[in-house]
Amino acid sequence: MSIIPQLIVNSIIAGAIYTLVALGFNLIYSTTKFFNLAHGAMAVVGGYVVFSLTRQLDFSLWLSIPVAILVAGVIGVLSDLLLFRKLRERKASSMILLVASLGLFTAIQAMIAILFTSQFQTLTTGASISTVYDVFGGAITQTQVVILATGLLIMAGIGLMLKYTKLGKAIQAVGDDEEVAKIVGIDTNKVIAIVFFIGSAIAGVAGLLVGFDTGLEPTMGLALLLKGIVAAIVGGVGSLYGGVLGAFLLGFVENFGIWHLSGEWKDAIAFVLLILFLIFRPQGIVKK
Amino acid sequence: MPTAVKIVVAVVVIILVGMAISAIQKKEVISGQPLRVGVLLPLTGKFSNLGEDLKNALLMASSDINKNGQKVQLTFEDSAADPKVAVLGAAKLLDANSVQLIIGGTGSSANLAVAPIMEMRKTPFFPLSATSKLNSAGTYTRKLLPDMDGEASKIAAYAFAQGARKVAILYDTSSDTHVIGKDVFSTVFSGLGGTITLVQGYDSKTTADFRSVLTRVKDVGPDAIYALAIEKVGGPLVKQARELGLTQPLYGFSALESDEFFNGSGLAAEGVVITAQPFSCDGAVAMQKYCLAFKASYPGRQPLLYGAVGYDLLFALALASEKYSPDFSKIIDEYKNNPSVYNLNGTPQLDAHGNVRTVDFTMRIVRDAKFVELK
Amino acid sequence: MEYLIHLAILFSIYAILGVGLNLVVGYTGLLSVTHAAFYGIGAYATAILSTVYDLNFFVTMLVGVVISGVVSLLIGLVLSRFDGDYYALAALGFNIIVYSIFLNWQSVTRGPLGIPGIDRPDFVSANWAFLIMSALFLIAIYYLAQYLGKSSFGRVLKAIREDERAIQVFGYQTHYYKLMIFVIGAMMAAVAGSIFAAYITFIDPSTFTLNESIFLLAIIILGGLANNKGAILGALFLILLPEMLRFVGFPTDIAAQMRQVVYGLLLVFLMLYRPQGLMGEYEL
Repeated sequence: MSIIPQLIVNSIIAGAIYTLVALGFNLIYSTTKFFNLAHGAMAVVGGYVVFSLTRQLDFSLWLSIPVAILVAGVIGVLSDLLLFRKLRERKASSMILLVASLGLFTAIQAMIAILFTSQFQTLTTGASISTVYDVFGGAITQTQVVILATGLLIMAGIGLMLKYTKLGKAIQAVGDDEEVAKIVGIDTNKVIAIVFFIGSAIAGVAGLLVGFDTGLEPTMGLALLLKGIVAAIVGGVGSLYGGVLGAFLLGFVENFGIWHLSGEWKDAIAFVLLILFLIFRPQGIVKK
Repeated sequence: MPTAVKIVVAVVVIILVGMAISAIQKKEVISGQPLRVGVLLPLTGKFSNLGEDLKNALLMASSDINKNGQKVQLTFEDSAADPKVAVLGAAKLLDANSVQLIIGGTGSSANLAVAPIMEMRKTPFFPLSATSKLNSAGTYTRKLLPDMDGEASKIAAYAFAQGARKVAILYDTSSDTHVIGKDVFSTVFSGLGGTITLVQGYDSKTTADFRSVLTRVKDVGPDAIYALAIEKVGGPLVKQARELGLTQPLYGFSALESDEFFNGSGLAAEGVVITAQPFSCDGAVAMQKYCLAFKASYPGRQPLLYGAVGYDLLFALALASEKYSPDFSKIIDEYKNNPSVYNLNGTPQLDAHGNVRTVDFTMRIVRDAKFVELK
Repeated sequence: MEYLIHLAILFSIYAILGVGLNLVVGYTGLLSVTHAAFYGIGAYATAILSTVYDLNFFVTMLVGVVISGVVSLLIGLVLSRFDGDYYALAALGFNIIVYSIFLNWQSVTRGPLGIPGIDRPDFVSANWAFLIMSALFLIAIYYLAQYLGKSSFGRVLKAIREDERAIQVFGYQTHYYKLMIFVIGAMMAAVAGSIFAAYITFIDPSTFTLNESIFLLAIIILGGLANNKGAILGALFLILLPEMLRFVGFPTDIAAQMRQVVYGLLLVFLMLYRPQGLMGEYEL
């Protein structure tokens, strides 16, 4: 069937986007052990900062993108310093952290809607048609190639960092056992703050890439986040490579799944996948 | 009782008292002359662009009408195009603001939920919707936009005349109007001898990524695609269709006509053909004047069909109210005889009840990121 | 005055939902983020049966409760294998799946077109009478919840919340208890759904999304977990607060978003400074 190459391309693009969200989410989860729902908001922040800098203030793209990534990272750190750290110090349960992160997510999303209206925005100037490449019968745009490349680069980068740098080892130590890490002399709070920065920055990248590919809407955070969570859990929560595998598996299942069903069932398919994994292989594909 | 609870109860009591007071106060101000018009429209959500357009137009109309003394008084409430929110908004307009009639913005599910309430309160309701369900929603409801049926049959005939024999239809599953559009198109097109090879719904609430849906279209390889979408959604839909390699003619309907569409589609929209309603900034003199005034008051915003209809309606109501105030039922009768003062959306044809059933639909095509008349 | 009656009816519906959810989340400690699904089942049962088959409202409510019970039994069987965060995630997944069914099983639910023209029983055609009816339901459910909470069944639930393994040692089949309370909560939600459908006269899937489940969670967290009065108080506050913002004078387009900001910050501050809520005896 001539449509299979296109389905494969679609799956890979979706997988790359979910990977970006899952990577940051997994990093944060592995060190803090709670599901940070506010992570979705960082993606929206990243997208909208690029929007406001390029479309409203006329900055160049080369400047706006790094700034947006930085801002997303900073807001992530702030969320840790002002909220999550305080709750951690009080030994709050992970459910309290989850609900708090939910509140934060809702508030940030609504504030963005106030600042930028609920209008749908695109990051491309809209004047030109994007360059489209043909890959064995499947069409892929330039932006989508960038998404794929970015996803792989970041994944490789994080993987290398974790394995070979001192920071990376510290992150793994905190993830393994926070108490022991403290005893050994690691400043766990600082490590966690850095993890929040990196994770949120990656989410910001995801957000702005989606903005270039499809567009921005204040409500996009939740959908991205949920898919990222499904990817992370299916792949093995806390494991970075697992998250990547899970993300691509999700992308494929979604796209091939609706080939025979109708497109409207796409979300349901993603969550059926989640529940199946939770029942039959809750530790995910890659055990940690 | 713990202190926290005392605080909450105190807050609740204050809120209730405040609302009661504001309700009473407003009644005093209102015992004068102006027509109290409630407007329940989507200021948030996917129709927010259309809602904004209507709000701006009504504000402009009201300031024009009130130039020589206040004749209309507007109160706005967000419907969020959500039935629950709309019902509460309508209740607030009716009780706290004592409106004498309500104009409803786009969003058929919200309008359908509000219609029975207007019926119970015996208050006229003018929803800006095209769904034919509203034609029979109640004695107090009179819809303002023509039935979708006319647009769908016209474009089906056009597509067939252009040589298409196999068509794929895309539509937003959450819109009544779209469902009617897809059904009427299918019937007419099949009746002429064509086939509908794919009917694919999408959910505009959850995503702007239509690639999976469009891939199915690519799979069936139709001669043409009928894409039912509103402007905000149609933009990315058209762009992604072209990016995916779909080169077939793309057809749409009047809800696509807005600069918001081009925001999302860019140049990919070139050649898209739609059925359109008479309103256009390059149309009749009255329409041109309206557009100039609108752009002057709201720089950067393009005047759309919805605001134009609302503007016209408010003038019609204001004139009727001058003639017949305070006999309210005569005002509504007068509206049925003269529903449009400036004919900003052409000459609407009403049924016996007062619903707009049809206008002279025309066809437009995209050239250089603008809609122009298709000869 | 009518407006206040509208608010009161909505409040009573949400209070019923809150009390039901409280039994599952507050007493038993299960973070169920799928309550809106059962709310929806009750609403659709009433909507479909009264429009297509012209059945009496109370009959439709009974059918809705039964269907909700059966569906929750099935979902609950899967959910009871999970704990803590995973329970929440699986529950969330189920909410989305059920919502998808409401949206896409169009031959039954008419999908997003929704079901208009739902009737209410004649003796409550006036809104104030309807309010009395829904208030009576609320009172009945409140007392049922109180009774359950104070009974030995309720004590087992609280024990499960505190330390499930410990009570298993004593021979209690915790799976069974978790399942029972989940089903009971779901059936209460269906009652609220039927009332809602008859009141609004038009329902569509958009009311029964994940966001609604999250809103319900916020109600009982605010009010105080494991406290039925708290659940009712939480509903009162979270229904009135957005309405109050209507009168404050924000430009209308901003008002709706401001409500979300306030609601989000409220959750944050509650978790920071009063995680047990207004009247609660228990933190998450």
